[in-house]
Amino acid sequence: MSLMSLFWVLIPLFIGILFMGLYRNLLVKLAVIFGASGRFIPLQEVDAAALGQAYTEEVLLQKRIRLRGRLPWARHMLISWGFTVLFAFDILTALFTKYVPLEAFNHGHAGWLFLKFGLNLSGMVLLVGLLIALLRGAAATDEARFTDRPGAIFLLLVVLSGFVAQAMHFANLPPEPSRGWALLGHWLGEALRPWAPYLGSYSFFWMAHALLASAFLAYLGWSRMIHVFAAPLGRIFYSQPALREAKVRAVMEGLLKPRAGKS
Amino acid sequence: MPPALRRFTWWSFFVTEALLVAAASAYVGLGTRDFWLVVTAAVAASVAYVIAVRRTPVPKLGEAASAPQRWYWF
Repeated sequence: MSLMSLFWVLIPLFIGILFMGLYRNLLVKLAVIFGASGRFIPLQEVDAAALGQAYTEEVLLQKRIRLRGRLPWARHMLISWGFTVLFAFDILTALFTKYVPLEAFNHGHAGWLFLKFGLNLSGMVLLVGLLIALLRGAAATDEARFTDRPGAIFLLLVVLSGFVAQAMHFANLPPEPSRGWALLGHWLGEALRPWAPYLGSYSFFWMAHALLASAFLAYLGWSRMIHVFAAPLGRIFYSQPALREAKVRAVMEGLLKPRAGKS
Repeated sequence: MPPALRRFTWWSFFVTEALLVAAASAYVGLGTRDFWLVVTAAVAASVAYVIAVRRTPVPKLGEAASAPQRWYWF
């Protein structure tokens, strides 16, 4: 079995573990909270303006984190946007180089350089965010309690293994100036060129990156990283007046209910 | 659990697994030995998911409301 096949065999298992974590740590809890506060909001009662505002302020701009300070906000923005854009470019890369192969996205063409630029830029943004998080987390600051250290280290390994694998791949190829669009991948590749070719070590790093990235998805559901799903959902739900009112009503009804054994 | 959330629990999982098998087939080929290994992995993940869903205890309201707040700022 090739390493690529092994990777594809493991992916459904890792995603299965992610879903198990999401069910156990998010969905059943959501169900209980909704059960207590009433019901899902019927579609016609959704306040679209409030939803849009909550999404913009809480998810896109993360204003709540801004209240904790400029640095925590910058760090969180770098990590969340770096991760999101990187994930999007990963999907685009698979789509245009494998599933809907277009000539523009062949190796060295403009589309391919665009994908490499996006992947590397977002990877670098993520890397800077993670380094700030780990350095600030190591210092005895108030901010340290908000840092998910194991999660940040795990993600750092994913990012670093990706950059090293890509650099080894570039170092194995003849020099090509247009590859400068690959930014850090290109710079690292040029630095590693004197020791090229990398054959076994390139396969090792590529596989390590693929497995770590997939395992990280599984890890999301079982760690504090679940806030990637939970926090935006929570912010969006509670932006809805109907849901907030239902919650207050349920709490008030509970308080007004006579306790057993008391007159 | 509200019916809409229950439906989401099942549909989101099985559709994702089916998409992964379809995506994998572009790399390992349809009907090859590796393809059947991917299918086996997806089936194993599905069985594990069904068992996990069936056996997950429903938390009390206090646990459900406080744990996400402590952990996930929900």
